[in-house]
Amino acid sequence: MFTKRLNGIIVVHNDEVFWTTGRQPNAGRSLLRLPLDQVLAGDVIADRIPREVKGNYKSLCIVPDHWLGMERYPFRSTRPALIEPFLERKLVAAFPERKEVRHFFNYQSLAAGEAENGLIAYFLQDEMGYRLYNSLRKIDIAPRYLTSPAFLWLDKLSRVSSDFSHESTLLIHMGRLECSLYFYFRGHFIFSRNVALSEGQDRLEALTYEINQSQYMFSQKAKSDLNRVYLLAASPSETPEAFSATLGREVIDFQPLLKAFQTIAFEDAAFLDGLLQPRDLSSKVPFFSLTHRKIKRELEWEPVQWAGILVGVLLLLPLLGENLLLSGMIRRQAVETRRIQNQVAHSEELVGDIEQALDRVLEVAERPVCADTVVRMLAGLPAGIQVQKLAVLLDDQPEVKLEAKVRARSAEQLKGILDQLVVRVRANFKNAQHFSLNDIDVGVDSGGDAESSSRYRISMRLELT
Amino acid sequence: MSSKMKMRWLVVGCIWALALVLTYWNGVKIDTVATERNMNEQRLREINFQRQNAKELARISESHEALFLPVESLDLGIVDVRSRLHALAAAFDLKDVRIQTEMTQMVEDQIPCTVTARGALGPAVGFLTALHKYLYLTIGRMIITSDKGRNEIEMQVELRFKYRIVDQPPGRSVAMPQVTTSQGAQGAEAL
Repeated sequence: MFTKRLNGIIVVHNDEVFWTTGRQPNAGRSLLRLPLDQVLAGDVIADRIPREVKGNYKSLCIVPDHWLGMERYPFRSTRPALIEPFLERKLVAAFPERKEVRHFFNYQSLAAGEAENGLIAYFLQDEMGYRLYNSLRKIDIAPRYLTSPAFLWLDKLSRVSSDFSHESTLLIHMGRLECSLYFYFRGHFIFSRNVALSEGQDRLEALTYEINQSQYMFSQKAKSDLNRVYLLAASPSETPEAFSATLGREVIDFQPLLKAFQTIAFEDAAFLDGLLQPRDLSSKVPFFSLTHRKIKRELEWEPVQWAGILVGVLLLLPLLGENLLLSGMIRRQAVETRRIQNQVAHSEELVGDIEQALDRVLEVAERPVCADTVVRMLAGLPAGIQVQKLAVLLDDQPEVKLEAKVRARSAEQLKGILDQLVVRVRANFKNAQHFSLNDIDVGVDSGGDAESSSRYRISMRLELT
Repeated sequence: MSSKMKMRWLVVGCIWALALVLTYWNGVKIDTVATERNMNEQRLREINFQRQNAKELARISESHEALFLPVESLDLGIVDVRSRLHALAAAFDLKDVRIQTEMTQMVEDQIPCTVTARGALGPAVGFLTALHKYLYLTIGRMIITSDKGRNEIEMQVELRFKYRIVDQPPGRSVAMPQVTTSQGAQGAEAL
């Protein structure tokens, strides 16, 4: 669903830049061919860019092998989060005059079993590469991936030979005017050379000399001898047997091995024939390549973004459904509410109001009746008690207070009168069952007449609830 | 960052912001539906209750209405109450009747009043008994003090006059109670 294809190929070869389409079924068809100098000059070419190329950043740029450099660093960790800053630091230190190198590098880890454990960093070393990229970026056609024929052949060799990652390999790619020699050691590209082919009888001998020289250089660099030599001939006269005879070792014909692959035929770059399959132009190229670090980060985030969009949309759908469902429920509820409200409007009062009314009615009903309290209090007074003041308080804590004078000849008589009072109060008031003599304050009346010694002042308080 | 990358982040942000907004909105709607449903159930219960207990509710409502004197204005209500109290006191032979309304202490639908009067205990008790029939006059405090010199009592009643302002007060009258001292006569000798 999310597979995106590269729809353009930019090839830099022999000081020229070719644009070819990557779209099927016309993949390999040439769209534009410009001298490299003109492209590097900048936006003077903008007007000449065809419609298919304009704004196309989903492209692969194949640059000459010598535009890419290689450095080997010992490094134990295999974590990209440690490797990438390490390489960035190393490369910037190694090429201080080319700060942009920090954006254009990639690496391959050497297998743990190899003698020298570490990393091989490949980076854009030629100034032309940076200028070309910047020129293309200015007109919005900067390629997404940068690679070279050596890495494309590496991919093919690793597919056809199961031992490729364990041995040293030389690929001789014969052209009409030049021959390319690619050297690989245990699945890693070491170096390549382009040898101009001479015309005449000594053509093969001259080439053999160059191959032997290059082989010597490879032995020094890789500290290993070649195990396997492949030949990709340009004409039937260039047979593996002839090369075997001159090189003194077995040379394998590469052409039959490539027949298994259906590859793109390039109109203007015959040297790339057999190198690219249509399926190689997917959004994640299968071969080794360099990508601007920022673009690489963006590509790493792309699936996260799409996942976010997808999950968000999947979440939105049920939420929208729920919203619509709830809207429908609210509408139905509103109709129901109106119907009920009409019924309520026709009825008298809501129960809430009735409840409040009932509380007030009950409060009044439960409230002690003032006249009744007075009558019961006075009716309960025994003979000999003269009321001075009677107060009935009905708010908050209902109570009755009595102040009176009592005439008694002795304490026993006073006690008898008060006992009677207690008994009657208890009889007349339901809440006064615990009322006792202790609840009555007794004092001597300080009135001025001669009989004051037998007159007493009493006061009492009785709660009514 | 390329414009496409920015655009994708923007789309992601918008979609998730929309999801959050929708989640909140749905939550609000769920609350609305639940609240409305509860209210409707409550209303239906009330309607059913009212239907089943219509007579009782009418009686309660009527009793509650009786706790307030319907008046066209507050001043007219006060005048009405004063005249009723004077008439009632006169009916029980109470003398020196003074009625004070505490306008400064009035609350929502109540005005505190103080009634002071002098007379015999029996009629005073009869006055209090009769006052109980005026449901819109609630006694808060009552003090009786004896005036032995005159063989009378002095009575002070603090009550609250409860009223309700209406456009057209119904023709409502409380019959003057019969003058009786029979209840209070039992304790009169204690004074």
